[in-house]
Amino acid sequence: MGNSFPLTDAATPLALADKELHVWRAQLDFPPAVLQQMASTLSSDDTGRVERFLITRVRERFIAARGILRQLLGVYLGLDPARLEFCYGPEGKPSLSTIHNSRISFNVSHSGNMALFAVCSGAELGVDIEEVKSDFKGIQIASHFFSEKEIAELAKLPPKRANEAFFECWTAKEAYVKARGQGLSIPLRSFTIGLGYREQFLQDERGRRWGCYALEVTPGFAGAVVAEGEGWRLRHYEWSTGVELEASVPLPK
Amino acid sequence: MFEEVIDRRVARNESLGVQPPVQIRLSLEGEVEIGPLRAALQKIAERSGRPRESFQHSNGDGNGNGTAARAVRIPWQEHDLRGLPKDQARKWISSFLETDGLQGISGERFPQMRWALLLTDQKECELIWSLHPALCDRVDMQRHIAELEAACRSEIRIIERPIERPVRPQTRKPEEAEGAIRATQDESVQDNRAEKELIAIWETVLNTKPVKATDDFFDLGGHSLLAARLLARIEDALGVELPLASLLEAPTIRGQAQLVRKYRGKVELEDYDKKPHKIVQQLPFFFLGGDPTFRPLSQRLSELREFHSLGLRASLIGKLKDQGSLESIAEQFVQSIRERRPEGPYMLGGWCAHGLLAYEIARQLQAQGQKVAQLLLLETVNPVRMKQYSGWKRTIARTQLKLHLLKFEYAYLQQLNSTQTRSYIAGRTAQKVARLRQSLRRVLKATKFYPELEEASAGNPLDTLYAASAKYHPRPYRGPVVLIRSTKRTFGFGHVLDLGWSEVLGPNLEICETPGNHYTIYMEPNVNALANKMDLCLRKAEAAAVAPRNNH
Repeated sequence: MGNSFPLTDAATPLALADKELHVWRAQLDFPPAVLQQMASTLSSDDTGRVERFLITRVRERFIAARGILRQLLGVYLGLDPARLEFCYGPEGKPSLSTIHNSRISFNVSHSGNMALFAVCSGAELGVDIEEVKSDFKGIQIASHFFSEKEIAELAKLPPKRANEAFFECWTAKEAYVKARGQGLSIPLRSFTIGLGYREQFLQDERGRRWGCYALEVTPGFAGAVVAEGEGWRLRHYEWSTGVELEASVPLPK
Repeated sequence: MFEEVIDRRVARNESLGVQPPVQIRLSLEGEVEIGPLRAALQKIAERSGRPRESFQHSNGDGNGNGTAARAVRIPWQEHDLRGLPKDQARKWISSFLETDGLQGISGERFPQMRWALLLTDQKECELIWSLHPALCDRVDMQRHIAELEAACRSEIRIIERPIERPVRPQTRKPEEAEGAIRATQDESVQDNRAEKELIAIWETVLNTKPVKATDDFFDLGGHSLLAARLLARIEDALGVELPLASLLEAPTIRGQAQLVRKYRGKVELEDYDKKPHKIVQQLPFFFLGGDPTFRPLSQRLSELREFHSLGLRASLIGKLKDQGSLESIAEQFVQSIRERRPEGPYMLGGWCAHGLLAYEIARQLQAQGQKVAQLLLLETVNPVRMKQYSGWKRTIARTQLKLHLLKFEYAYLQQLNSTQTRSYIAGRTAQKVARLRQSLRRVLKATKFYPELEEASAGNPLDTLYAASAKYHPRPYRGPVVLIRSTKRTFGFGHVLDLGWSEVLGPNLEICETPGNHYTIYMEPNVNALANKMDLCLRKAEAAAVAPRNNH
């Protein structure tokens, strides 16, 4: 597979220390040949999903995201990507099948041509990325789906900053509901994200604490990752090189 | 009676659609008791079939005063023309009839009729009854008049009843099949209409064309943020608030159209058929702005709820203690609002400077110990904050606003017929000439040449309002406020989302957006979205106002 999948060259499986949260960043636009290679690693239920996409670009990005996910998990588990099996939660959240007997959990999100992959051990997690669109009417969506406090805070900001803040807040909310594995059935206005947060803790109705971290993905994108529990150490990697990104590690205040 | 007519026509799969109404003008003599009159009209409306789709259910307690609660659900407008000279009132009415005629009436929304009460004199008023043409051959007008006369104890005569348009020929179907077909076709007609609207919304949100009714949202590249956007649009356009998770349940347009019907149906059912006593009292909405340009909006709102338009009239200006202050203008309105509705909760709103007037009225009502359930500001600026904005930005914004105004005038003229266009242009020209002469006079300081001008300008109600608004300093107000913003904004202060209100209102302020610019938000084709949005805000406020405790 050579250069297109640099991580397969990693000699040893990637180590995931306790309380470590790895966030991988990847671009999803690949030449057709690479996509084809990636598609060959997908399982039959993945390809079933692929065939249903009606728009080529959407289909290709799904293939790329799934391909990279398999690649990555293959490295963590020391397995052939094509042999990985997933199972799905009640709201469709994928996780590693029990046959792998692994504590690793993961979550994926992509928007535009960027994707984030979050991996940790022994805890539920969720990640979300959104391309920040300047013409997006965030406030309109906020007024329908955000909590009153968030709406009031957004209204105070100048338009450009309000738009960015909307995306930061949205990704945090998404990451949280994804981490909970209940998809969109948790009302987004039922919990509040402080605007401009870097790190925040959320408490669910059973009293469990969830750590929520803002991610500085790359300019023009907002991202967030949420994991069950507290005291997570975040480490950032670039998928195409396998290199740990020091610069974009968000600094908890 | 009406129900049968409509249903049979739906069963025959004839598109009833939106049609120009048949207008019946009635004159009511004597002191009309408006409450009982509305109750009688409500009964007539109820006989026309099911309740209206958009009516919201809430868990309010039983309402002691049944007639009052029911009497407010009819499409109802009230216009007070008592200050106007006779010939102007006549002009006003004929122009009203024209606009009303242009506003079609839907055969699928119940009831298929609406009323407007025009108060022309202390002892006389006029009732304009607009009906869907499919009904007019079945209306027993004599019987209804007798009912109304008995209810409001005044003498009613028909002033004018236009020649009825021929109703489209009916094709016969075997009688036995009719009943069965009726229900399913009624549903499918509704679904098809919803599907068409949904397709347009999906195509915009997903930025792909064409979208088929059976395509899956997620297969089209839909994700949760797009889902949120989609549902926000649907709420604006169709007035149905679907939860985000509903897209998982029904990811196709076809499924969603059925959901829309189900959600509406649930509201109807819970509201009306199952628990008719648990009706949330629908509060009347007082809209500041008697200007004819607001008529499309008045029409739409009056179909959705009881609606009063209150305009600033020249005769009122004379009565003011202090013409320069918005407070004293507001005092007059508070008085006339409390004449119509002595006790709260009240719901008010207005566009631009009229919104500021509504703000002050709401504040005064509160100061009198009244509850204000909702205040809607449409593109209203906090004048104090705007003044802090730099001068050149304000100049650019004003120029941009003028450009917007041109677009608005174009949109407005499109909606008028030739007579109305002529009179509108004549009016605008007269205004311009008056302004020109006034500034000439100011430059020349030639008071003696144009002594009449001083009076004329003092009597122009809009000028008075705008002058008073510019000087107004909004005092604190505690109560829910929704600021409705246009999506197309001017440079400078117009670009500030909250228009300077956050610091005055704090957490009581809610902001939402509606398509169009400062002016065109209340013109076709945007007026529907605005009316639905306003109604939605009002319904939420109603539920909140009535839920904790009942006033009756």
